[in-house]
Parts: sequence; C-alpha cells; structure tokens
Amino acid sequence: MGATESTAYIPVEGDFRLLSERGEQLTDNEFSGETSFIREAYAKFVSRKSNVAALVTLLLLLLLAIVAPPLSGYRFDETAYNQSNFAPRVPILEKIGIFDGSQELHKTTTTEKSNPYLENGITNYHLFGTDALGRDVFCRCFRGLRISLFVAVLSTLVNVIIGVSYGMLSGYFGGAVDMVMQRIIDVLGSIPQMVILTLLVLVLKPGIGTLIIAFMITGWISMSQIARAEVLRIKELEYVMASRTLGADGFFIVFRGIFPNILGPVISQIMIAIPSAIFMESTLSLMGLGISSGEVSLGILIQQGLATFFLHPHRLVPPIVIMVLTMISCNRLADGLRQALDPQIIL
Amino acid sequence: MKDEAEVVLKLSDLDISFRSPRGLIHAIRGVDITLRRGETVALVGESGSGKSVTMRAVMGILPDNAVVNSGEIFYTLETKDGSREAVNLLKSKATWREEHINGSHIAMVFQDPMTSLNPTMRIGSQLIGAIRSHERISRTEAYARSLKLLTEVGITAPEERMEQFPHQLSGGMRQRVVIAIALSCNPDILICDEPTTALDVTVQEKILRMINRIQAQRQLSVVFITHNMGVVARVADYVNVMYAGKVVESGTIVDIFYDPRHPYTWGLLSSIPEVESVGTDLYSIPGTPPDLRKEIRGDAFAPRNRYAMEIDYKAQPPMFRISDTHYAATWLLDERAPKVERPPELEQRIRRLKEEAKQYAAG
Amino acid sequence: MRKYILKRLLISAATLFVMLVILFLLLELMPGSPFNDVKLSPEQRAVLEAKYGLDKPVWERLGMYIGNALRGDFGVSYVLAKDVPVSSLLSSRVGVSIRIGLFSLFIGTFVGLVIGFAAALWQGKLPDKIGMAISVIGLSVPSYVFAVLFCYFLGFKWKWFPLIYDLRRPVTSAMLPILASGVMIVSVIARFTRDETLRVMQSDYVLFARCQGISRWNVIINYILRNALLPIVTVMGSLVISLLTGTLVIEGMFAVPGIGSFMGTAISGNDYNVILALSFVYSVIYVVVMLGVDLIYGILDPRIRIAGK
Repeated sequence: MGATESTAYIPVEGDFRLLSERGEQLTDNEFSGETSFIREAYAKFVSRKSNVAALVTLLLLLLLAIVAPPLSGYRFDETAYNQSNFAPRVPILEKIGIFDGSQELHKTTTTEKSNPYLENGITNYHLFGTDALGRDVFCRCFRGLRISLFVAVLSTLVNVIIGVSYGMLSGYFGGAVDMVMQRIIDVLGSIPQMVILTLLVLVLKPGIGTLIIAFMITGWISMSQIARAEVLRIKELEYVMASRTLGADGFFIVFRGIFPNILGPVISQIMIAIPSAIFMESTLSLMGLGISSGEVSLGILIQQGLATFFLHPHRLVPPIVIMVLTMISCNRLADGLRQALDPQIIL
Repeated sequence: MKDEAEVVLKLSDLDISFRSPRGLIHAIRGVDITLRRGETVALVGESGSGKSVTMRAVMGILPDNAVVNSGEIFYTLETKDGSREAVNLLKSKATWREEHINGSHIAMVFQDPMTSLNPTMRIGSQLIGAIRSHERISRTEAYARSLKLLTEVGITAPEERMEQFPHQLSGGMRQRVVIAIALSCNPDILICDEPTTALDVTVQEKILRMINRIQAQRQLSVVFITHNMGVVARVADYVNVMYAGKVVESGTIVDIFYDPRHPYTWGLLSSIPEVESVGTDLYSIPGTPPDLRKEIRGDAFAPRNRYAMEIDYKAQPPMFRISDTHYAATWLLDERAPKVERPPELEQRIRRLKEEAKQYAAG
Repeated sequence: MRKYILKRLLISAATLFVMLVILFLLLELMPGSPFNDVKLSPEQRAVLEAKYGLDKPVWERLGMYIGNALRGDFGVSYVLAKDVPVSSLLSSRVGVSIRIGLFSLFIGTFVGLVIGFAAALWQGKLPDKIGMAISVIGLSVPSYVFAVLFCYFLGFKWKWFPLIYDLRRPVTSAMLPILASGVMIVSVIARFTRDETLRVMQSDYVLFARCQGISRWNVIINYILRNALLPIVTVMGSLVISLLTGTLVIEGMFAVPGIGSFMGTAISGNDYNVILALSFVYSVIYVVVMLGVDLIYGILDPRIRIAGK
C-alpha cells in the first residue's frame, strides 16, 4: 500500500497512535448550533454598513429626544415675543458666516438682509431658530420627536400583543374558529386605515391617548398574520407531540415552539410599524386632527412649518429632516434585521 | 467493471469557495471525479458535503457569490463528424455552454419536483420550449417528440398532461415530467441531484426503476447525488464518498459495500436502516460536519472519528491506493498506523449484504 | 375559480356593510352631528326627525341609512354648502382625484418596473445601488415632503409647472401632485420587483431551465418575468391605499378640487355628513380595487384559475 501523493508534513512514528487509547473524549467543539445562530445573525447584520449607520442614527435620535429638550435651555412652550421668527444661530458656525442668525426678508420690491439677534441685542442661541411665538425650534423638534416616538412605540407594542395573541389563537384552534377569525381580518383589512383613524380621532377628540387607541385598533393585523402562519407551521411539525400531550399542554408547546421563530419577523414588523405610525400621526396633524395644541409632535411642527414655509423655511426643515431620518433608519433596520434573523438567507 | 470505457466527464482538483459576510466558505476542497460512458457514478455524503455544489459547477449554475479557485472540468464533446474533443467547461463561456452543452449534452434533475417546473407554464410548452431551444424543428414535430418522451418516462394519457399546469400533477408525476424534459434533447450525461428524496417511498422505488431502465435503453452516463446508501446500492456502478468538500473514499460498488476502508464510510454503511434491525436504535455518526469557514488542518473528519490519531490533526491524509479502482483518504491506511478492525456490527452487516446478493443472483 | 370569486365578492360586500354600520353608529353618537345641534329649534328638529325617521326604531333607521347610502344619498351638507346634497358635491371631485391617482399609478408602476428589473439583473452593481437608494428614500419619506420639495423647486424657484391646480390646464397643473405621489409608487414597485425577480432567478425552475440550455431571452421572458410580475399585482391594493392617504394632504397643498382636499375642508368645517360620505367613498374605492386585484390575480395565476388536485 503506498500513498499516491505526498504531503508537506512528514509524519513521525508517534503520530500514529489512536487518540481513543489515551482516553480522550470524542467531543465536537467546532460547531455549536445555538451560539452560531446569534453570531451568524450579528455577522450578517454588521456586514452591511447601512444597517450599522441606521442603528447609530436611530440611537442618536433617541438620545436627543430624551436629553435635548432639558439641555436646550428652553422649554418647548416658552414664548418670547421679542424673539419671534428668528433664523438659526449656532455657536462656532456663526464665526464662519453660516447660521449666524441673519435672514433674508422678501419684501414686495427688495430683499433685505438683517440679523434680528444683533438688532435686538439678544445673546441667546437658537440652534434651529424660533417660531412665530419666539419658541425655540430645536427644543420643540426633539420634544416633538419624543412625543411622536412615544405614541408610535406604545401603540406598536400593544399591537404586537393583540396581533400575536389573535394570530396564535386563530392558528391554534383552526377549523371554524380560524375561519371566522380570518374573515373578520379580511373585512377589517379591507377598510382603509386612514379612514378609520380619521373617524376615530373625530369622535374621540384629538389627543395623545386618542391617537394611541386609534393606532391600536387598526395596526395589529399584519402581526397576527405572522403569528398565525408560524403556528400553522409548528402545528404541522409538532403534530404528533401536540396530540400526545393533552389540550392545555399542547397550546403551551405550540407557544414555546413559535416564540423564537416569530421573533425575527415580529421585530422587523415593529420596525416597520413605528415609522408608519409616525407618518400617520403627521398626516392626521396636517389634516387638522393632530394632538391638541398644547403639546407638540413632529406632525404638529410640520403642520405649523408648512403654513409659513416660503417665508421661514427654518421652521419646516428641521422637523421634516428629523422625521425622515427616523423613518429611513427604522425601515433600514427592519430590513437588516429581517435578513439577519432569517436563517434561510445565507449571505 | 467497464475499465476501458471512454471517459466522458472528468473533474480534477476542483476547488470552490463562497463569499459570505464572515469570510470565505471553503466548500469544495480539491475534488476529483471521473465518469465513464454508460456508467453510473454516485456521490454520497451528508448535506453540506459539497455534492450538489460540485455538480452545479458542471452545469455552470453556481450562485454569484461562488469563486472557483482552481480545477478543471473536462467534458468529451463528440462533434457531428465523429471526432472527439475534451473541452474544459470551466474555461468556456457561459453563453456557449448554455447553447451547446446544457440540455443537449449534460442535463440535470433537481431534488424537489415541486419547484423544478415553471408554475405558470403548461407542461407541453415547457417540453416543447426545451426541445426547440436546441433543435430547429417544427412545433408539431416537437409536440410528437414530447408525447413520446412522456410515454417513455411512464406517464399515461400524455396528450392530457401536455395541457396541464405543474400544480395539477402529483410529486412523482412531476419528477417524471422533469426527467422527460431533461432527456428531451438526448443528453449523454444525466445528473440526478437526490431525485427521489422529496418523494414517497413507493414512488421513489418506481422512479429509480424508471431511471435505471432509461439509462440502459439510452446508454446514458449518470451522476447520482444522494445521502442514502440504500439508493446507492440500487443504482451505482462506482461510488465517491464525500466529506467536507473532499472525496474521502472512492471505489466500485463492490469495493465500497464489501470492503469499506474509511471510518466515515463505515458510519454511512452502519446507518442504513435494515428490515432485520427494526426496533433497534439506528446508528448515526456522532457530531456535525465541520465549519468550512475555518481553515481545516489535518483530516476534516478527525473530530468525529472514533479511530482518530495524532497525525489526523497535523496533516491531511493523501488518497491511499487500495486497488486499481479503490482509493481512500485516511491515515489508517498508512503502513505505520495500528491495524484497526471494522466494528463487528458492520462486519455482520456486510456479511448479510453479501448473502443477500448471492441469493439475489441465484434468483 | 367560481368559489374563489364568490368568496371575494362576499368579503367585499361584508366590508361595505360593516363600514356602513360604523358610519351609521357614528352619525347616531357623534356629538355635534346635525341631529344633536343645539341651535336647532324644536320645529326644525321635528322636521328633521320626521324626514330621517329618527322616531323609528334603530334597526329600521339603520336599514334606511344603508338603503340611502347604496343609492348614493348621504343627505345634505350642513356647513360647507347649506342643504346641497352631498352626492352632488362629491360627484365632480371623485373624477379629478381618480384621474390624478391613475396617472401617477401608471407612470409610477412603469418606472418602478424598469428600475426594479434593472436592479435585479445587475444585482450589487451600480443600477442596483442607485435603484435601491431611490426606493429606500421613496419608501421612508412621506409623499407630502416630496410635495413640499417639488413645490419649492419645480414650482416656485424654477417655475416648470404651475403651483396651483387649474381646471383649464388639467395636465400641466396636475404634474406636481402626480410627481409627488408617484415617487412612493416608483419606490414600492421597484423594491418589490427587484426582490421578486431575484427570488425567481434563484428558483429551481429557472436553474432547471438554465441547465436545459434554454435561451437567455426565453428564460427572462417566460420564466423570470412571467413569475416575477404576477405577485406585483398583489401590491396594487396597498399602493392604492397609500395613494389615497397621500391625497388627503397633497390635494390640499396644490388646491386640487378632489376628494382628498374636500375631506380636509369638511374636517375643519365639522361637516359630518360630508365626512361620513367621503369615508364611504374611500372605502368603496379601496374595496373595488382590492376585488379587482384579486380577480385579476386569479385569472393570471393558473394555480388559482385551475384548481389542482
């Protein structure tokens, strides 16, 4: 018996000894399914720079929503009539001639350049300028983001609970129960969400609570479909086991089985539902059905900014940029998480 | 054995990686396979051992993230005037390959008949389209040929089937249609990628018998990819056992079943379910295949090998020659290695197999 | 197939019925609805009550309401145009909105399909990157933001198109609203087309077709396009709903005399009859589109058209 090819390593006599004779255990530490899935998901997620950028942006926005209003030095509803409609003035940047607080006023015949800060002897800085009542737009924007996120996140979480329970019950019981529950969804899903929202807000009177309730009534359908599909799949798989154990145990098995599996789709659905709720809130505000005037949200700020857009664009641009950044990063994250958490996608 | 038979397909030193977010996956690590005219070669191994990837490289349908690091795939092309010429498929252009090789010389049947057919096209159109993409014949001629092909693969009422869509057929029926399409341009090599795995046992048997019959009638050379040693025994002349992207043992069906040398092959043979062993626990090889992202040092099978030696963690075993047809890559075959006996249960099983074969031969 | 159609029809009918019940309940309960108006004198109230049968039991009133609604009678406007039937206020506006909507739907779908296919065929290359950047932005940015941008640049600064909708120039003056709502459609279609095309390109049947050496164009047209386009029909429903939502704001910004801007006017004027009628019109549009989409899908997909075994 001879080797047909030779290798670089030249074996020595001692190499040819069975390891089992030395009492070594046959272990397989090269591969471990569970940790590998998480590591895999992480690797898939960070392999796209846009995912990381979206995550960082979102965390930054979240941080600003929490700390910016108290640190801005203003209250969001603090009016100052001697400082109305100021343009943005930013420390440091003002030295190089941008964002120094000066603005162009378009009169009927001429365009005047002026700096209201200097003219009125005001030493304050308004990073995003002020609105007609002299309120600081920077503070208001992040206060608005905070409220918008609060409404969106809270209603989305409630939707997850309602949707997942509905879907699981529907899928678990199957048969006639499932039939009826699915037809209810068919009908509810065929009514335009915006119409329901409009009517509800109209009846319940605009406000944060109303918005949350309105989103709760309409937003859970897609969540329930994810949960139901997964229950049906698990039921198929664990059919024998579920039938051997009795009733309540069966439900528990199904529940335990589906939970890790729906985590991925549900998380990415959450990341889709949040920007969609922010968008709906802003649309309602633009229709005059936003939260009541005392509080601010991104929608309210955009509505107020639109009214004077051509005169004072600095009041519309910041809330729109903040909203767009939030929505893009949420959508990007939803996509990235869906791909990263889907065991089927091998990149 | 048909030793003198002409080689139609020869893969040598094929080495393929896949790009992934966590670096390269070294999926095929130097594979040599030879297919001779009229023979059936089986590729056996667990999923992920690289059987399908190897054959997809032959068809030129590797995914975009695949990188062929080295290797050659020679196909012996017979031109119309009868002269023969070996073409390196890896060096030829994709469009040329699709036009002149795929379908008309080499065809492939996939594992899942449920997804292999275009769901929005009638069976007839798919068959006729396949025929007319290689041969300039009229629609009526192609239709007539299609009917003949469907009859050949054992489909009744072919006229009716031609008008149907894939979802109207059962799994077994669909696989027959897939095979009919694969045979439609008279290829000389048929690659079957686990063609019966997705089917019911009774249907499996019928399809295997049908493939055997057609191979004999058409003098086809067949590559049969499977993880099932039982299927190998039914169809193959020659067997390549693959593990972690390498062929670890190759030999004739007799070599592999009656005189296996590689511990991995032992494990595969021990895990065939037998009628006699119903009720006893089925043997399975402990552990899982290695992570091909990491550089493999030594023998990839060592961590799962009951007979692993120190050398297995230091150097990759070469292909030891056992006979003219039989080769295996395990250090146990080195003359310095201790003599290791096959597990007694496996010896018993081999004895039973031999007896069965004798009875079968006797009628 | 017949069962499939029947099921869709029943769901559509049930949806409209539920919608009408909701609207009826709102009308009954809504504070400040015409029947609860404090400014009404007892005589006026009696006239109204007799006219609308408020003295009759609730079931009968519901029946009457549904009957009237199906005939297109939503009563009269109370605020915006005193005592003018709501149906006549709506009739001219529905056409304008639908025309603009269909325009952006067709243009947007076409552009989206081209971008989506290009992105899939050149996956990972420049066309893919550009196409997907467009679609990420278009999917995340609300259409009214595009309306503001187009308004400012195309209308105000560069003066390409008129800023305000003008009935005498129905094409050029409709361009800005069409563009503003079209971006979203382009994005959705491009994204969906790309993903769907890539999925089909990696499917076994396309690989099998390539193994058979079927010509490139044949594979692209009969295998990839045919199967990738089919599911795109299904997103049309949700596209129409986004379009409808968008018009609620966009129409107001460009002063388009459609149902979207009218909804805004009705809301600020508290004209409940108009709001309820508009809600019903929106639902009908959506239900009809969904039904149409389902039926077209059923006809195009042999798996639904011809029941399997």
